[in-house]
Amino acid sequence: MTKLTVNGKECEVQIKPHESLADVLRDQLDLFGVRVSCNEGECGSCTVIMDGKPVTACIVLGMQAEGKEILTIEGIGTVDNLHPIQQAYIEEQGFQCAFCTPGFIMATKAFLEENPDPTEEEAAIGISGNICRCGAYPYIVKSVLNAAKKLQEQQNTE
Amino acid sequence: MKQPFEYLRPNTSEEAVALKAKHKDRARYWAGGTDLMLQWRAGELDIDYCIDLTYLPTLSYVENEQGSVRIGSMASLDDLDYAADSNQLMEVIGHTARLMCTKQTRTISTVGGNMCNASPSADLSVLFVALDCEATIMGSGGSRTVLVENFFKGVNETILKDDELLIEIRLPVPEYPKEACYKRIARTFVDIALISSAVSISSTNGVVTDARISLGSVAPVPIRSRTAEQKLIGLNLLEVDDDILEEAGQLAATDASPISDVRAGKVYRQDMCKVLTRRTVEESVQKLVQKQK
Repeated sequence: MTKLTVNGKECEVQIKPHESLADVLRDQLDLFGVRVSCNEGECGSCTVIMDGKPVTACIVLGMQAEGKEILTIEGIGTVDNLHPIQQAYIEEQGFQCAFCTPGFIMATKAFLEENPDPTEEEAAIGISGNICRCGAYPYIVKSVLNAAKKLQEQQNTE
Repeated sequence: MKQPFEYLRPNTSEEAVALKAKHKDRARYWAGGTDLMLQWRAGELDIDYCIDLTYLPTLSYVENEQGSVRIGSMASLDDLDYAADSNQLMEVIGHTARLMCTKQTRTISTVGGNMCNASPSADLSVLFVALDCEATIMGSGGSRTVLVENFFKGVNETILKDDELLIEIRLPVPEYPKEACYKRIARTFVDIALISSAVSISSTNGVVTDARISLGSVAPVPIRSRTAEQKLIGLNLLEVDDDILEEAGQLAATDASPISDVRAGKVYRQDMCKVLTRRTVEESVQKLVQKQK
């Protein structure tokens, strides 16, 4: 059995050598917010945060996550208590079908930690590792900027 | 067919090399795995063992030293981006890393993986050749150092022997003025280079003392255009005008032997080889002239 820390909880799973982290998270831990679309590390849908860095979970071996801290969309907010980034995406309608949204939100989280006060162009580059087939990009960029504001306000009141 | 394999996790480079020596070509070193994972899924990877290098604690550094920067083979492309402000040459390397794949794969992809996959279009390899970088390789019998220029043997082929592991890339950072530039043609950021050109130029008292011009995606391995280099050496920086740039570009295009493939045609590649080399030389020279002022 292999020990993973996912969304703050330790869990033990049986991982096959070739199994991707995305498959482990979905099939064994029921974390279906990890969306697998291209399965080639191109589209960003499966983005999770591993030890503070965004990674495409579909091309990381599950075994390579042993001992690391994994954060998925399920770990950042709940229906009753949304994360400011989730709230921002809703306010700005930064999605249409929403299949890609968890990946976008996790990428946004990692990006805003590196650059808390981005320009519009920086925000667009910041989410350039994710593909939205509905083409909601202008609204997604607005969501990132709105989220930046929310996070800064949150920090100021703390 | 997708072949199952066994997962091995060495804790030191020595252990990794010993495992590889034992299983030879039935094993592959697994760095970021961004290439191998796809090959495995496509049924193109026939191995019995994967030797995972991500738990080696000592190979993911980017360290500044007197006269050089040492880049561990397991440093990620994202690490290169972070190290971009250490000097003018690392800035070019960091900029190049930012052109490659996406943020969430740059955190996984490694310098060593990019080099050992030995794709003719690998951005870093072309640049490392132009920057005169050295590669340190470790095998069961000891270590050796080669110029990155001599590291590649063919498409997806390197000089690494069965047991050997790429440990480090060393970037020389001389005291005399040296500037570099990398440019490529690709449809978008994330795309693979259709053709690329990297240049480094050194000067003393305003005269070009050394030039390295390296071209990607025009041959099975990154190649140097020695004729274009010779054209520049000995010139005063201010003598490098439109005519010289045009000539250097033309010489580079003549040295290149691209093929037509799904990404681009031979003639287009040759034309762009000229254009890109012209621009990379021009930008490097401009940087040197600016530093002089």
